[in-house]
Amino acid sequence: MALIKRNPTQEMTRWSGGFPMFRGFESLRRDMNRLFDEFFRGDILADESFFGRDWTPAVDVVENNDAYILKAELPGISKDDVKITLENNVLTIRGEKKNEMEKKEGNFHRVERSYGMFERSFTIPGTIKVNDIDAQYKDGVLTLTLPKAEEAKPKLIDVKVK
Amino acid sequence: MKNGMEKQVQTFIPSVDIVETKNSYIVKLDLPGTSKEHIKAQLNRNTLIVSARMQDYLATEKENEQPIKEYRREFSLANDVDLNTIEAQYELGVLTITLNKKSQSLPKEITIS
Repeated sequence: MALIKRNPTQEMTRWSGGFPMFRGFESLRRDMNRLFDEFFRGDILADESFFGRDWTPAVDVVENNDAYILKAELPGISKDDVKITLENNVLTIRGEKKNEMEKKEGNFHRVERSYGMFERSFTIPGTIKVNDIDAQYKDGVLTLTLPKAEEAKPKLIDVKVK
Repeated sequence: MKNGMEKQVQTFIPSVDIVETKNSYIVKLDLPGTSKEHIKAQLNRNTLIVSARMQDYLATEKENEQPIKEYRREFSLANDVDLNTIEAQYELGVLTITLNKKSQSLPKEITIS
């Protein structure tokens, strides 16, 4: 951002010693400067969601007899920009969608797609074969297959009818 | 389709970015979970209709009960779009359509003599 940080002390020396009526202006000015400084480099910028930088990808989770299948829609993200980690039964998908349009010069008529960092975490049941988790990325959809441990699969019990 | 009954179609409106450059309009649509073969882009006069069948990636034994999921969005094209040179590309779940401007509508520099 091409904003030069104001130097409040310098401003104050320039204004001090002036007419009493300017004192009110001076404090107002200081407040304005402080506001400006905070706005342009302070908390608001640090909070990236202010500019819509954070987004949440849509996720479907389905269970069948053998596995849990998790599908995350990550259109426009290359495989290398997605990181999947498993720690203490918490599965985390995180990554960044880079805005390739931003570099283009032109008029933006519509910007509906989301850009920026994303992160989603899921607590997985303890009955997953952790070493057999499979991840595939195709056509903007990440598919995670979490196979169930044998003891978690549904069992058929024959009930004898007497 | 079972017993001649038509399957329900669930329509989704994809998110879109449109940017205009000097020579073209670039339209980007998020279409995750489909494929090049399932995307249809039709031009009806000045209206561009993009539709795509979503792959039934959650297909289970109950697949037959699931409605067909489809993306669909229509765009009214500006008069300066060259309808003969529309290009589209599908990559990483994103469809990019390039609409070139007609050459006569490009901004021209007029020299003052």
